[in-house]
Parts: sequence; C-alpha cells; structure tokens
Amino acid sequence: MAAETDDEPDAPDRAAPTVRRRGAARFGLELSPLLVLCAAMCALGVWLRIHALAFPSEFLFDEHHFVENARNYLSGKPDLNDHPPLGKLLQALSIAALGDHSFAWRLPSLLCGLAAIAIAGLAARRLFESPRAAWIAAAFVTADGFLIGYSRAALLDGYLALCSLLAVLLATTRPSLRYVLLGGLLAGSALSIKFSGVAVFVPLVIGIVTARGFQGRRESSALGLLGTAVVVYLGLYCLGLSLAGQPSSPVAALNETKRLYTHHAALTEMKNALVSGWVSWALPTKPIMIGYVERLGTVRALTSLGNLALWWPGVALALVLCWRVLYRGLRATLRERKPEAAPAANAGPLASFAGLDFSGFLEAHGRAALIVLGGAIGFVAPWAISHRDSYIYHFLPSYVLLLVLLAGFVAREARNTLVVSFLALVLVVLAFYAPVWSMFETSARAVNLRLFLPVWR
Amino acid sequence: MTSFVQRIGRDWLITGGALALSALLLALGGGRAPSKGDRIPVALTIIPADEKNLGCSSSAEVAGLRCAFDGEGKPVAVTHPLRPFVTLGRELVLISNLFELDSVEDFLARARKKRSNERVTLRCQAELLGTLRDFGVHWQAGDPFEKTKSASVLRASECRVEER
Repeated sequence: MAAETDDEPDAPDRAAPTVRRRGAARFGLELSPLLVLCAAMCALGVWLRIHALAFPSEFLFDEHHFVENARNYLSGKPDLNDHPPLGKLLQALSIAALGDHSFAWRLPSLLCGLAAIAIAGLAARRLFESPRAAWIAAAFVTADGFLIGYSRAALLDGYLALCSLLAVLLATTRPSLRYVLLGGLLAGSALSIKFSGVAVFVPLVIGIVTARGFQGRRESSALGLLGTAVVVYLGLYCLGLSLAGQPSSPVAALNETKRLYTHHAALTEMKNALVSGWVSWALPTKPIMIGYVERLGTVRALTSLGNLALWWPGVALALVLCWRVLYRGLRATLRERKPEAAPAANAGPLASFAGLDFSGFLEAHGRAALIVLGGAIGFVAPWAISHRDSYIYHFLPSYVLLLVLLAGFVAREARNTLVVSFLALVLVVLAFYAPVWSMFETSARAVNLRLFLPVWR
Repeated sequence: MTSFVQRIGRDWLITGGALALSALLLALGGGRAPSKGDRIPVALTIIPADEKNLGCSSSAEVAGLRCAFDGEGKPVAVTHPLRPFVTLGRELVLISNLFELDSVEDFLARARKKRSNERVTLRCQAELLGTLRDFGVHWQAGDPFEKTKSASVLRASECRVEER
C-alpha cells in the first residue's frame, strides 16, 4: 500500500534541497541534529514501551474488562464486555500462544504501539512528500506518553489509534479495487474493536472524494468500501459469537450489535469520576492513571498524560488549521498551488503567527491536512454530537493524527534551529516524564512533580 | 564563546545539550529505591489483638532483630520481636517495636479499657534495616507458620494512629 506512488505530490518540502537525493539520503538518513534527535526519541520511546511491560502482574485500570473476556473466548464462554469482539480476540490469540500472564495480555497493545510508529512515519512521508516529516512523525508518536501508556496496557484504544493511522495512510493512495478492499477490511476491523472505529471511514472517504485525476466512480468506490466493511464486521462478530459458544449467524451478530448500541446510547450520565467532556481534552483535565503501585517508599506509576510539548502545539495547530479551512473554504483548500507562491494580499486572520505560515502550509498540503483533520474530527465527533459518557482515551485515535499533522507542519519550517530546538524540548520532556510513562521505581514526590495539576493525579 | 558555537554549530550544540539533559533526567530524575538505613513512610492497619497473634519464625537476625520463634517454630526470648504486617499497598513487612511506641501503646490501652477490637490505620516513619529471607509467618497465635520467601525488615518510629 505504501509502495503505491501514483498520487501527484502535493508540494516539495520547503526546507529540502531541490536536487534529487540518492541512497540513504533519499530517506533523510544524512547525519544531522534533526536525525539524531529523532533517533534518540525513537530509541527512548520504544524502550519505555517495552521496559517492565509485564509489571504489574495484576490488572491495570480497565484491563479486567478485556482480559477476562479474552479468557472467556478461550473457554467457550460468552463475552460480557460491551464492545465488539476483535480487541479481545487479539488478546485471546496472544494468551493462547504465550500463556495467561500479564505480558501476553499486553503484547497486542505493544505490537500495535510499535506498528503505529512505523505507520505514522510512512503516512507522513506520503502525506507531506517529505522524509523529514516521516522522521519527525515517527519521533513524535514514539515520544508521547499518551501513546506509550496505551502501548503498555491491555486496553483497546491503542488498536484504534493504529487503525486511524492506517486509514490515513491508505487515503494517500489512489482509489482502486485494492483501496476499497483494504479500506473495507480496515473499517470493518476498527468497528469490531469499538463502535467509535466507524470514524476511519472519514479519511477513507475523503481520500476517494478528493483524489486528483481519479477516473473511477467515487460513489461506487465509497459504497464498495461500506459493503466490504459490513462483511468484515459481521464476519468478525460471527467468529467471536461462535468461539463464545453462542448462536453465530449474521442475524445474531446484528442483534448483538443492536443490543450493544442500545446499551451505549443509554450511558449518558457523566457521573464516573474519570469522565471528561471532549472540549476538556485540549488541556487535558482528566488524564487517566492507568497504573499506580505503591511499595515501601516507592511508587510505580503509569499515566496517560501526553507529552505536553506535543499536546498543546498539536491541538493548537489543529484548531488554527480548522479555522483556516473554514475561512478559505474546502475548494480553495484543495486547489493546487505552487508552494513558493507569494501569500495572497488578503490572506485573512491567522494566516501566519510568529513566522509560522499556516496559510502556506494549507496551500502546499491542503488535501493532506483535510485527510488528517477529517480523521481526527471523525474520532471526536461521536462524543461531540452525543451526550455519551466520554473519557480521555476516546481522544487517542484523533490525537495520534494530530501528531502526524504537527510533524508535517514542523518539517516544512525553514528555520532549522527552531525545528531542532522544538525537537530538543520534546526529547527533554520525554526524558523528564519517563518514570511515569514506564512504571519506573520512583517516589510519590517525583510523580506529583510531573503530574503538577492535582486533577492529573 | 561565539567562535565555539560557530565551530560546533548552534544546532549541534542544542542537540548535545538536549541529549545530555535527557540522560541526566533519566539517570537522576526519577528518584531511587530506598536502601538500608533510609527512613520511609509506612501505612498499615492493625487491631488490638494483633499484639498477641502476629508472629514470625526464623533463626536469622537482621540488624540484631529477630522473630519470636526460631526456624523450627519454637519460642525464643526476644524483647522487641519482629512481627509481620501487610501495608496498605498489600506488601508484607516485618516490623519490630511497633506495639511499644507511645502512640500505639496509648491506643492499645484505650482499646483494652473499652474492650474494643476496632481496626485502626497507622501511618508511621520507619527505618529500613534489611531483608529477611525464607521465614514463616502466622496471623493467629498457635497457628502453623506459612512459608514466605522474603520481606523488608523495619524499625518503626513516630506512628500516627487514625481511629475512625
């Protein structure tokens, strides 16, 4: 999928040299401060995902909901959890292969978390036509605590984050039968993890609708995507029901879907201590403490708080770009422009700020930005348009896309020292928060120093 | 200074600084596990009957402290024996002199007077003395000892009793 290169490039990298590079340099592998910082973030972030993964051997946060039901699938008992089966089937596969212990429960999350790093890099490479963006995207995803936390726990949201990245990557390819089949497979799988996985349709459909030079029928491609997704979803649900020893016809799967949907639609009280409205995710006000184990004089903690050096710029960039898209209109955003073209005299509010050229970014990468923003908004939309109880982890599949967008924006910045300084800051924040993103043996004081807002603890 | 920055390159300097600072934060920023001689906070719950019921068996000593029973489970004469407790963090520890602290003695006296066996929480400062390995514990006087692999040995001080 990544090998398909028949899309027209949006624009060359503004900071990149214009000569065609060969060999390792093609992949941005020239030794530079930027590469060293990205490599350091990737190495440290991967290590923080793997370090003491099996600790604690007891359940973290909501793991019991999923692991207990993965066990149920293995022993032919019904799944009592209120999400479709795929996430728990992945855990069941790991338990069946490796045994019933904490490492096996969490291994699928770790693998998804590691895959997300590579897919983020590939997606950024194709979206922004820049190896520099690829490196930075991979580094940002690796260096973020929200994503590290969900790579270390047997929870479902890390799987969805990978699905959202895959959808964006697929949306960068030319619509074709393969696009429809892979997109349908992806959307059906995402839906089979959580219903909110339906949001992967947004970037996939934007990919079809906005494809340049696409001669096929956009409506039939979109319908093919939907049809394939429904078949995949029902197939996976029937598989789950069959393993659970329940009636496993497509009608039974539809009835179960209806039952779960009705159950979720009624969860609107917002009384749980951890619920947080979608608007509050921008701060965030309620990151979840995924694990907190107190021993004699020591604490080992795992928080879902993200890397603040990425979180706030990522959210701010998304808001500014949304505003710019609304201001300019979709057609203007999608219109091809030369990246070096002088900005229009009346570029409007927030075209640029402190030398950061938002308008120029959208002119060069309008379609890429729409795909990524579409995916991010799609995953937030269910919580924004309904009163369903929402939690910070519902933001994860959106947030990972915001990091890719931020990487594309940073990669285009011509002031290299500014970029290097920003990456240096992200690395330092990663190192500072490492103890609470990877269950280091530390003190309650050290935890509180990092989670400096009382609502974060 | 300017020529040094020019020779190295400002971006490399920023990178080197970030790497060094990150290494420092990783090495020192997270704190460390407590070691022998450190004073650490311990929180646990007790009932007055624990004074007579809790016991451990081992012939080994840690910092001159030992259990009230030897490795065979036979009683030995000890002034302030080690006793097993489970902390609020569900960790097994062996503590000496807990019931001899003024605040705990006062609580025990009040409880005896009221004939109460109410459970209270103790929040104490304790000195970490070491680790005792391969010993037995019992939670009721006269019960057989359950084999246990290891536990930290503490000497308690300054306990605060939290009665409900």
